[in-house]
Amino acid sequence: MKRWLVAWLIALAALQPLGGAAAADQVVAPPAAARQVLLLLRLPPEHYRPESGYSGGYGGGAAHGARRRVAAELAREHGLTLVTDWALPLLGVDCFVLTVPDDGRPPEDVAQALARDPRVDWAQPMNEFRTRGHDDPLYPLQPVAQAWHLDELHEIATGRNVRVAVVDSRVDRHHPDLEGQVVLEQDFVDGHGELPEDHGTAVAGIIAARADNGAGILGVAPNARLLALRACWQQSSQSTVCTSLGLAMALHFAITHGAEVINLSLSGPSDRLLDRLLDVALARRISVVAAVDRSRPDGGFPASHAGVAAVSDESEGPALPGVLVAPGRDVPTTLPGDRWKLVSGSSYAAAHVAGLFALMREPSPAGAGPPSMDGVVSLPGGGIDACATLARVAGGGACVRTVTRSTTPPNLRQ
Amino acid sequence: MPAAGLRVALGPSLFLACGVALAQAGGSIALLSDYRWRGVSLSDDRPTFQLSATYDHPSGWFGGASATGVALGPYDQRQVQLLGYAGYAGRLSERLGWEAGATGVHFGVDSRYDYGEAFAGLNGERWNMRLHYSPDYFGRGMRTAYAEFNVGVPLSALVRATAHAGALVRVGGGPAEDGRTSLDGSLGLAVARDAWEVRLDWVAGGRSSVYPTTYGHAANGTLVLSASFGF
Repeated sequence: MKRWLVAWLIALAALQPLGGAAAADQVVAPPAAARQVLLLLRLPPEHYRPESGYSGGYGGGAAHGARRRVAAELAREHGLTLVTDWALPLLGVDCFVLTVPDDGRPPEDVAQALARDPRVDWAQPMNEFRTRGHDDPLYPLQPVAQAWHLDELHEIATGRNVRVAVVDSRVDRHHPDLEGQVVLEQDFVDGHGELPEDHGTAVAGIIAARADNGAGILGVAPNARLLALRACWQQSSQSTVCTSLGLAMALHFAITHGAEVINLSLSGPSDRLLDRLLDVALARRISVVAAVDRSRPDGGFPASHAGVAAVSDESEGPALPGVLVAPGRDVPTTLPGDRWKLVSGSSYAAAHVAGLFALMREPSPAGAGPPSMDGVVSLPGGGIDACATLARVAGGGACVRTVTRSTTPPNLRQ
Repeated sequence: MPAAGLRVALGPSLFLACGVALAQAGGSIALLSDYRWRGVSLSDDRPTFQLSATYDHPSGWFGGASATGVALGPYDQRQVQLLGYAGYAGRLSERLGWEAGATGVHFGVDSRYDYGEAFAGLNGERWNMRLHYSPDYFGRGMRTAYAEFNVGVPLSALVRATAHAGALVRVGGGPAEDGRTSLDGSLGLAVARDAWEVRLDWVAGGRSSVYPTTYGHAANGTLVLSASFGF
């Protein structure tokens, strides 16, 4: 049965690339983020504003106008164009997006010049982040059901009602394996198409594809509830791009809308704005999972951020210290248009750990710390002993049979 | 305005001189289909305008003023209501803030309705609660307390839902027949983009003889549409 399934999936995957690439290539466009900077102005503490009616908050109208005028003045002084703005009350800042003209000035220099103004809290270039992973449908299939014994994990927990934020490209919420799994959907990307996208749909499927629906795959946490937060857009079938602003908006939304696990299957340079938001998320006991970029010495950001669970797939090469290794090669998962396909990359490994954290959240007793890297039981070969990890959280005799089995050498589990 | 309020209100002027570089000052102009104050129409249920200015200092001191067209009964005289406020806002913890300050209200023609209030409150990420005390509310010789609770929940990147409940209570002075508690409430949606904000609120207020308005004596609910531009 399993062999038949593998063969069927590979055959199915082999048919997909042409159609997928053709659709995705229509939205190829140079990211405007390359010439933008983020300007952060301090939000005053919330207080009584009779002119704003009863709504409270940081004040629209006059209060917001004050900050917008400062941003407009700074844009004029530095020869920039004010594009838009976004309040981030969690950080106590209002974030303005400014475009740098193509006059040879590096955005980094412009940001430094802006930051010297006493009215500015800080300024930074708009960084770009890229999802990790690639599609190669001919890789051999290694389903997570074998590596982690999903059936036995689900006897203990299925991630029931745990809210997992998928900060990624647009999720196909009407895919047969995702129908009903997305409780909240928000788009933080201006433009770049309205169609469901590959990467976000694939990541969402690994985390929370429906169980026992007679189609497709089984998610690691099939009863988790997804917050599908579009912060990235698909440039082509091989490339999905995000910016500091989109990611910050999505993170802010996730934190303020009850996310318990945040999945960031992406990587890029260090980013102060995202740093601060991740600190807030972690301080609020939200588990954050990020994909490791092996091409960067520190694994890339946000995986390198302290407290974030950094996850790599089973790529060859030396194990990275402080990095979890999860299934990420030839993983069958959901794709837009009622399709399934094999995918590979640390993006998908991170999605597995986000699902595992959702499972750990369900039986976790009140007052226990949030799931993190410290709570994960690793196998000698670098993989994750999912059953032992979950048993440690659930306590009692949970997953006893598998814990016993997991003490055997990892090569016997393949 | 009570003496305590005056002392608080003097604070911002001192900071204006030394903190201009970092302070935030702004203004807005708004059109309102009705000017509802604690549930009662002060514009005779008719459209009016509002000009506002705000000031925020990084230290936590804040102030502001607004001019609103009003029409008080029974002779339907159009005039301008000037409202000024000042106070200090601080934080008790990461998620809890506090504030205290004073408000002064002046009516351009019927200055006998002028009054002052002191207020103090707490606020979280999506809510705030505030208690206002006036020694002579609307010049009626009545001491009043007004308690309010407000909630604001972002529904999307642009849209925010709001809810408000308030209760005005006579705590001393004035005729005994004015002693009933007056309740008011509202539910609304606000859409904000760049410098613009459009709000739609359903506002209802209880019966109260405190207010010098033709229709303020009757309980009624209405939809209020407003649009503002910040500068």
